[in-house]
Amino acid sequence: MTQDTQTSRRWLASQARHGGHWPYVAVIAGSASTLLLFVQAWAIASIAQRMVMTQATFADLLVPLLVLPLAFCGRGALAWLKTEAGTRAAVRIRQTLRGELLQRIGELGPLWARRQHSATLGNRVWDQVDALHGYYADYRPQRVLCLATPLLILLTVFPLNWAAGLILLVTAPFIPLNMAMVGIGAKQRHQAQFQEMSRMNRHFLDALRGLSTLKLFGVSRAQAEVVHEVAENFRARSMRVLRLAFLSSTLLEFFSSLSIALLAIYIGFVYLGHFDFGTWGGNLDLFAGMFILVLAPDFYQPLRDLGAHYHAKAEAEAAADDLMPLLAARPPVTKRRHGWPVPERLGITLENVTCRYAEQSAPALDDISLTIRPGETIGVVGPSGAGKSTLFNLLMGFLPPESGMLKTHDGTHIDTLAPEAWQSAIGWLGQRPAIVSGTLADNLRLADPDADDVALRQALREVALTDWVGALPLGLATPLGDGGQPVSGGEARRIALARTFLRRAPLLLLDEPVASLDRASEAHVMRTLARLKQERTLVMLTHRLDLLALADRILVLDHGRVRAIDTLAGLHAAHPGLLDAAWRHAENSHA
Amino acid sequence: MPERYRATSHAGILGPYLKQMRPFSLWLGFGMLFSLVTLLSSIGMIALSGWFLSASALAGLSAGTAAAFNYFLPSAGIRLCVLTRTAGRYGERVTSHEGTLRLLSQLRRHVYEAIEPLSPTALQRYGSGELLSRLTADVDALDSLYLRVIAPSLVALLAIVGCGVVVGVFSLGIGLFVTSALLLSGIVGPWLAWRLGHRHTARWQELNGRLRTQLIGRLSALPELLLYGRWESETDALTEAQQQRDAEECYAARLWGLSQWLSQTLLGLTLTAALAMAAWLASRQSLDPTLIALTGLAVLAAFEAIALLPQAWQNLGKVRYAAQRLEAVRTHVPAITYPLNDRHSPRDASLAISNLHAVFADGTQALSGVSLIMRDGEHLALLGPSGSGKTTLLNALVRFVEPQRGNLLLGQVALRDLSETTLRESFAVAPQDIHLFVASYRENLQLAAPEANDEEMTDLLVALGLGEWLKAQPKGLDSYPDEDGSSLSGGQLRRFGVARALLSPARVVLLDEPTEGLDDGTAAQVLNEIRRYCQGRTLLLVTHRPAGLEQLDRAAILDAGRLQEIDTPQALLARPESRFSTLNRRIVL
Repeated sequence: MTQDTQTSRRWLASQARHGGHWPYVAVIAGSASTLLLFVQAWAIASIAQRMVMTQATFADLLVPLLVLPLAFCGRGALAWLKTEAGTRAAVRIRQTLRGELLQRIGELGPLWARRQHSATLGNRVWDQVDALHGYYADYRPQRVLCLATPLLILLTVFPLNWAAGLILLVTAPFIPLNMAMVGIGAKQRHQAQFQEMSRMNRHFLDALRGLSTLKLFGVSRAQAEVVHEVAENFRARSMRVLRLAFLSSTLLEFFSSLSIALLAIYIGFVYLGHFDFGTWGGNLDLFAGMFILVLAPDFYQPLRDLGAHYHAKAEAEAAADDLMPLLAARPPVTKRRHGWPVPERLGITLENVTCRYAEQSAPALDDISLTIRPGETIGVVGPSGAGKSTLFNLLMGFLPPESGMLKTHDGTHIDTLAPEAWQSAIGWLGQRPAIVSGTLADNLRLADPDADDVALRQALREVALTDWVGALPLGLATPLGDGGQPVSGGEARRIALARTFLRRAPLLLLDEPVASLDRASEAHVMRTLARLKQERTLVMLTHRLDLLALADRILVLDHGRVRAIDTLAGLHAAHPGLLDAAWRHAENSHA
Repeated sequence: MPERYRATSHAGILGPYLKQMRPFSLWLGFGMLFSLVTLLSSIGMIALSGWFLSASALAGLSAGTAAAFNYFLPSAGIRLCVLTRTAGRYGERVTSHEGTLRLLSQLRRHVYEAIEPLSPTALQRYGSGELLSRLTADVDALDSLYLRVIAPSLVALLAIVGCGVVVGVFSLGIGLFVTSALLLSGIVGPWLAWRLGHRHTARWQELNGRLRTQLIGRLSALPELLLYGRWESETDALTEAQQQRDAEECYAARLWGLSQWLSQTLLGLTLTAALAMAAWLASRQSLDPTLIALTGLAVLAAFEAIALLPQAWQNLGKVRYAAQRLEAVRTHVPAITYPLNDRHSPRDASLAISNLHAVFADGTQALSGVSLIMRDGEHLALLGPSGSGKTTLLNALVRFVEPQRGNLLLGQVALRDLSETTLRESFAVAPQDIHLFVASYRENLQLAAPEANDEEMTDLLVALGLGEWLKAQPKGLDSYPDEDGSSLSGGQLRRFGVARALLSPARVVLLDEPTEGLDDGTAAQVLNEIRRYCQGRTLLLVTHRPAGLEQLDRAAILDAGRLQEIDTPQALLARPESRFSTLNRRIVL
């Protein structure tokens, strides 16, 4: 058994505590059901004994005939209890774990989440957590019953007949042996199959998602064959493994059948006088023999049930391997201030800040020092890969600096503030703003849950979306996102820009605020920005001269370093080559 | 979103899937046969053992009868049952898995083939990627139709009849009773479970799908949600909604518990009645009392066949929901058909668009009467603000969008008269959203030109300014992109898509915003390379940035679905009031 298996098992076991008392209820119900089995066996054996051996009248059977259906009814009720208890336990455990995962994702932040790929992450939080269900609902209670039920049966059979007990006992070691056999390599095998299966699913999904690309290159029709082929390969590989794997469950079937056959033949031969051992010196009557025979199939039944739930265990272990690192990845917890009053005006100083993305050798920002004064507007330019987006990630607290420090204008160290406290001072327009599924109002209220409709309409006016909203059938209540009103890239950016208006934050970070806008909206937004600049600190990433003209100073980034920071005029004077193109066009437009 | 679960007939919606099973009926049939052998062996073994015990106990009462008792036959029968039960189980597992996995491969192809002809733009509007990932899960749900519902139900039916025959040989009355009582429990249990359960399991599916979509949506909005301090409240909302789904799950568990109780009770009653009838007949000397145990144990063993049926039938709702979702996609998304063979062959690579009207995916007007002629080998830039209909025009050319009115000609042949093969071979396209497949970069490029060698590919990537990026890849062209191609920045991904299109030997090249997200220097370089690679080919370049377009043959401006102006860039620039000149003055750096 590998180290990994051990840890994932330990982890799975430790999570069972979230199930409360329900797991115990399931086990107790299962064990009580075995006790009722004895009543059933007693009733059936009594009827046989009385009718065959003592030629009793029908009236003598009244008690067993009345007890028998009651025992079945009772076992049914216990099975019901066991099922419900198991499900409740598993549901509680899954809810707790999912809550923890979501919280952890929030702590680890968007840069980390982006590295995971949102569908993979979603799959973990949703499907992998659900994959734990069978393990807690069925497998774990059943594992206890696998020991309890055979033990109870042995304890009952031995006093009646030691030879019969011995037959069960001799085949009993096959129970742990069988459990081991089922277990040996089963996890690896299952995991291999699991991986194959998810690889096949990924391939299928990839083909469906890339369907238009396949079509454009004229290979979409032929892809059907590829889809089939990949699935057939999966089948061939799976079957090779399964043919072997089924041998272990077949062996279990064989031993359980064999022990029943041996019992029947042994007991029969005792009756016929061919054997005279095992009876503790007394007699073995038909009642005792029949009683033992009725119990025999149930001796192995729990193990067969366990085999049926085995896939649940393997699935859970595979899921655990996926979930454990997620839950274990704790961001460094330091004591941070929550109660930071957001200042009216905010400036920031960066001192020798170096940032690096995980798993990358080159720093994304390399020893940057810079002061943004309260109320200042800074334009940021630089070729792609210069570190512009990194600067935003740093300012938003998504990417902690590797070295150096960030301070506010009044000397507060930003790393002493709780991320939520610091982030409440920031409004942001990203390159690809997210539209969440929900109404337009929901999307705007992300930035300020208390904003009323008047404020929402005002914000939409600022970004020239009034006409667009007017044309929507339900206005602010129009659903957006998956399946709702389609939102073009330009509209999404303007909605995100409207959010930054609703957010009364002193620092706004805007990434190409007028990209993909038509001319009229562009002019409108530009005027709004000019007004906004009066009251807030603005940092804009842009290539556009008219926007740069709004900036008090321009920061030129290159390869993660500050190449220059100056006013537009100063920059032009000091670095004549740098903004050549910009000037040429600007002069054209003034001509 | 597919509409709510409808209570139309199961047979209607599941019918096509039943048909899919036909090619594998041999495998599936053998699976059922083995399963039946296993069950009948179990019944035979325990019933025979019960009789053997009773008979030998009776014979053992006196030494004479004991000696005369033929124990050879029954004990051989019991041993035979041990072997057939073991072999049957193994055979059943292997054949049924083989059969279902084959069925699964077939189902995947079937789903793919059902989706493939649908209009990609309409499909995207219908529910994007999340729908597709659910379809993947649905395929798996559909295969449980056979494995958990159909096969066990048929086997149970036959096993019950088998048990009835075993008992009926000795007493016809009891045999008939046992058969009908077991059939009744075998039908009532699953029927009730299905009746009470299928709506709930389908509702579970619906809630589950919705919540999953919601979660993934929230995860992709993580930066915004964190920044605006809304992550916690969003996750709280999700957790709360999740309880609704889990309540359905608890209901299903309760129902399954109830059916277990019901079937155990019915079993108890059937068994008791069978034993009572046997005992009654025995007490009146019309039945050998040694057969009482046989009757009881046979009933007990036969019950194994129906024990798990209710759960399977309860989950039928899930299976149906899956089938319905696929059906909904097929009926709601229009398919685009192509003639099998070209009605005419295009004479050259010229394009003629006349009076083209088309709508956006959401139904609003995109193009209202666009006419445009491009001669073979001409390079034309199509400019316009976002939402002006540029992309729709490209989509109409590749027949992703069916125009409402107007004609589209390639080499003087209507696009509608071209087979899909010819159409695809004629156009090389780089759309706005570049999809990278989970395959090496080489394979992603070779999609356009299977013959392309490493040198060509590398040259092209270097020309498009991706040389440094390529160098940074650990295994060069053999490296794999992250899912979603996120190891490339937005601009790099665009250029990779352009490279893919330029590799294609097609005579007409359509590029949608190839320089979006690039700084001016890179954009100019990319534009130059595009022109170089498109020498002798017809090029339609859609963009909203006019910088550098002076080099092209002509420029056209599209706005509000109409062509506003079209001429050589020089001529347009010469007119200071032209929109092209105004645009050109405004864009900088």
